Amino acid sequence: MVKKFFKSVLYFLFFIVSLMYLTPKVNIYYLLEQKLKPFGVIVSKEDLEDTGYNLNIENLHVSYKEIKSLKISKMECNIFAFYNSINIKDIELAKALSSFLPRKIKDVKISYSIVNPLNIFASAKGEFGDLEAEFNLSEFRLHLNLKPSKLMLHSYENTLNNMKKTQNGDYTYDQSF
Amino acid sequence: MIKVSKSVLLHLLIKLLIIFVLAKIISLLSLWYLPSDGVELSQKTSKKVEYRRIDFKNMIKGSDTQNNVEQSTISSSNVSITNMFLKGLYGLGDSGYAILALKNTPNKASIIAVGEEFSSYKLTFIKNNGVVFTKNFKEYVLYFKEMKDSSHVKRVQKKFFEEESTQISRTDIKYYSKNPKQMWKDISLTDYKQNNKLIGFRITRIKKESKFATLGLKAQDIIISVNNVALTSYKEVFDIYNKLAKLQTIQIIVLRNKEEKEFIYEIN
Repeated sequence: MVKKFFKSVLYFLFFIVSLMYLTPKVNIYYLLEQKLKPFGVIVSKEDLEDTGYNLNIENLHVSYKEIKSLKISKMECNIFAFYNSINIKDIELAKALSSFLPRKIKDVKISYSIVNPLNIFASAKGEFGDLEAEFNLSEFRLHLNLKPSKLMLHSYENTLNNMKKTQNGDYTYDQSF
Repeated sequence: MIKVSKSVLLHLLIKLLIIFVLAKIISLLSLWYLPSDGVELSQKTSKKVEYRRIDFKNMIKGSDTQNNVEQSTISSSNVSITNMFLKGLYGLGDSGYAILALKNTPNKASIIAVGEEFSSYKLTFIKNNGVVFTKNFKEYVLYFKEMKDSSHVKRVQKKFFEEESTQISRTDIKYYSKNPKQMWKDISLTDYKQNNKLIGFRITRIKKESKFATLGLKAQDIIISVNNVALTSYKEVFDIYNKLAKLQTIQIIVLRNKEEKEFIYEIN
């Protein structure tokens, strides 16, 4: 009986792994693009490559409400059902946003695991410093924790003024949706 | 000898193959529901020509010598200002050009820059509807003929800067670009929509002591166009914001009491 149960579990896992491998990721990406469009977010000019368990996207131009907002040189989406992550490299913000943030972001990592199903985690490194973010899916609440760089501290005081300074010199930001 | 068909391995492989085929069928079926193309940014281009102030100096460069000769001839004749009339204007304030002619030779026009002389009258200032000359420490204003038909020349003894300020300092623009928070403290704007379509931005508040208060704009004005570009999306606003550093002039059209009003600002 136990043997049969384990066999079924293994067959099920094989089915999931096969399904993940065969899922048309590029088309799912297109669906996501269409879902983002009503919010004014459009990603264009990108090159897509489905490598089985990963979706690699290069040269993304992201615009918000038709305003060219940022360029991303590489994005890698890893879908493993139990652990999913998106790695983004070399983000350059549009000039218009340079008065709010330094323009270069080195990398961003967004991860989601079924071990912690109610939270999405993100971390980013760039000219602004180090940022860690957490999005709670049950409360729709975003929490940011920024360790600002010298550049950020000296040239972007106005942005930092929108955040709360903690005792250890970090800056936090909370927003509910 | 064990039959191949009864091999456990083969049995397992067949089962796994069936599972794989099943997964493939599901993924193929999902293609029916998933889009085959992504979304690309399609930017509408405005058919309107962007507002520009023409640098007339470059246009007349070639005929400078001729104009100088003409000017010196006119200067020497020492004509009264009442015999002049204004044909055209380019620029505003202390930079620009006026096209002038004499009443007895209306087709023989001369182009005079601010600071130059015409019949010993020195052009010192360009207004919206006329020009200011000085001669022997007295000031004279020459208006367009159709605007001041019979007495289009008016002698002015006092200061003529009674007009609304139309000059913007580039330093102020840089300051607000670097301090957007200060800008939103000094002026508040909100979307103005009609039939759920953005047609401009309503000014909800202007701080009295701020630079914005000196621009002639008022609370409840709806900014509908800047430099001939209709503000029908945030993109247009950001495009203008990006070009601010290069702009020489800003032309703003606002809706005030359901009437369009135009403001022109020279950036120094």
